[in-house]
Amino acid sequence: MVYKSIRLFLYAGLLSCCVFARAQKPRMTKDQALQRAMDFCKAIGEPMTPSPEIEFSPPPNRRLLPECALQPVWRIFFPARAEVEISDRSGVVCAYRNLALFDEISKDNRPAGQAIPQADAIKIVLTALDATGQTDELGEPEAHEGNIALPPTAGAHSWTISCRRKFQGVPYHRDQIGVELHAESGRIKLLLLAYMQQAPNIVSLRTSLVVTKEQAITAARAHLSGRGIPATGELLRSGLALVQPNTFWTDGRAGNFVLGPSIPAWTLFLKTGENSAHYVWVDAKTGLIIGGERWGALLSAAPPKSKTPSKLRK
Amino acid sequence: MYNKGYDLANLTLGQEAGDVATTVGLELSTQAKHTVLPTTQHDKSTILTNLPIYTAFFIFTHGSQATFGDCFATPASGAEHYLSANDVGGAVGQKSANQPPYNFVYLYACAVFANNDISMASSFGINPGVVDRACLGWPEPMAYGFVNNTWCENVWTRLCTNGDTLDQARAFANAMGQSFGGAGCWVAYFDHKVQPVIVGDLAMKVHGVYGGIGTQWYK
Repeated sequence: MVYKSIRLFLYAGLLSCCVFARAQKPRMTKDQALQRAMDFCKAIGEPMTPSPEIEFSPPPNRRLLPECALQPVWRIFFPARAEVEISDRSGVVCAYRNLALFDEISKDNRPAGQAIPQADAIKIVLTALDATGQTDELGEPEAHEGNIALPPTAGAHSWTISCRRKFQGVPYHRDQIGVELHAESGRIKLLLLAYMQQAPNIVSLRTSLVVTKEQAITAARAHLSGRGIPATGELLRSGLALVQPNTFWTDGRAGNFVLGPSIPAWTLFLKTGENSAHYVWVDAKTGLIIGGERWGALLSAAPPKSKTPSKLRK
Repeated sequence: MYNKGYDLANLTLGQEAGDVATTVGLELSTQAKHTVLPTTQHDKSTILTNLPIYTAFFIFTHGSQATFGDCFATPASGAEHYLSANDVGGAVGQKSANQPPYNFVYLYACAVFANNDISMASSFGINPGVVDRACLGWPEPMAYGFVNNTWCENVWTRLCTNGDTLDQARAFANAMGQSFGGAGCWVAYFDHKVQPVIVGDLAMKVHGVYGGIGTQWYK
């Protein structure tokens, strides 16, 4: 009997492997994928190198990757120049990395200079997004100029621009398009369609919004109190968003997402202690708590001072 | 081959500190072929004793300017649970001729680089202009939680599994965002975004150094 079960299990496994393998047959041809990659590079003004390597990559089935990377993609590698990923299902350019530029700027240790204006940086990003072929509704670009190197260098000077993915005007909680430019040349270093969530399974979002914000806040505070968490603290942030429910309130793990369509919810970020805060996600239709997160601070209260003077301390 | 990782977490911050350190340890050992010592039990003196041995270092703990806590540090702890740049420099200075310098140091702690103070990186032997070696930390208070933990895990996965340079890995993690009230691309504190800083080589890789597996360099 046990033997039979094992054999059945093996057959089932084999069958699912066959189904999986059949599902991985690409929709695009190699030439179509290459053409998409070349069109994109041309649109953003970045050169390509001859003899690109092209591979069809089934879903890696790994966490920590964007939705597009959980689908079959074509990877086009222009040696020493760039890497482009094309979604096999949609033909959308879901990732681009300018390897040559990363290499170039890592050696540029001159002091940081003038960044291109923010409006120009955004214009460059919008042109690139248009060239990806992505059709999702997006929020306004949010731009941030920064320098990752200490001391700051020209090479590490960047514009980071992100746009939230939206559905009928409501943002997805986790999804965005992220783009990084070299701030002083305006060239694109990296572009990523970081879509992690499934679209909601609803036609009109308006019919799903039953719970008011005030009702959601009351429910969230009651939920926290019921768990012995101080619930009277300041509401740090709040808004409607499409969330993928997680199991945080049952197992404490905010990264355990429940697979399925995204759900409209009030995402409420409440201060719950001097150095802690909690997200509570309240289903905007049912009022149920469907997920959350806990945040804490990593600061020591009475920092012991270093006895070593810094060479670069200002 | 001499690739050794020291992977520490402070469990007074909760199990998630251990979870992140586990990811880091797995990435370093299985993908980047390091011999890794993962622990949640080392106090200041044990850490100082062990520091000369390693070439990669990760800790998830409390911190402040030029200082980070051991595995038991709380915000209220005194200097007996905090390692200063002086402490670290003294210990790292004990490396023998057969113990290569630190290749990568990741300090998942608040404000170790506050006020542009890079003395902690220098204590690990990592200074501006150095090649193939880098130290990543934060210049101001930062929070931990799903968003920031995922940011950290993304950096390590890209470094170890994908063979990215540190700057590529960081840019990828930023682009992934994972939301900051939905709209983020930086590691966030409670009410604003905080950008980490890197001292050393932006093009640093964890593969292929010190006799490591050179073929694992990413294209």
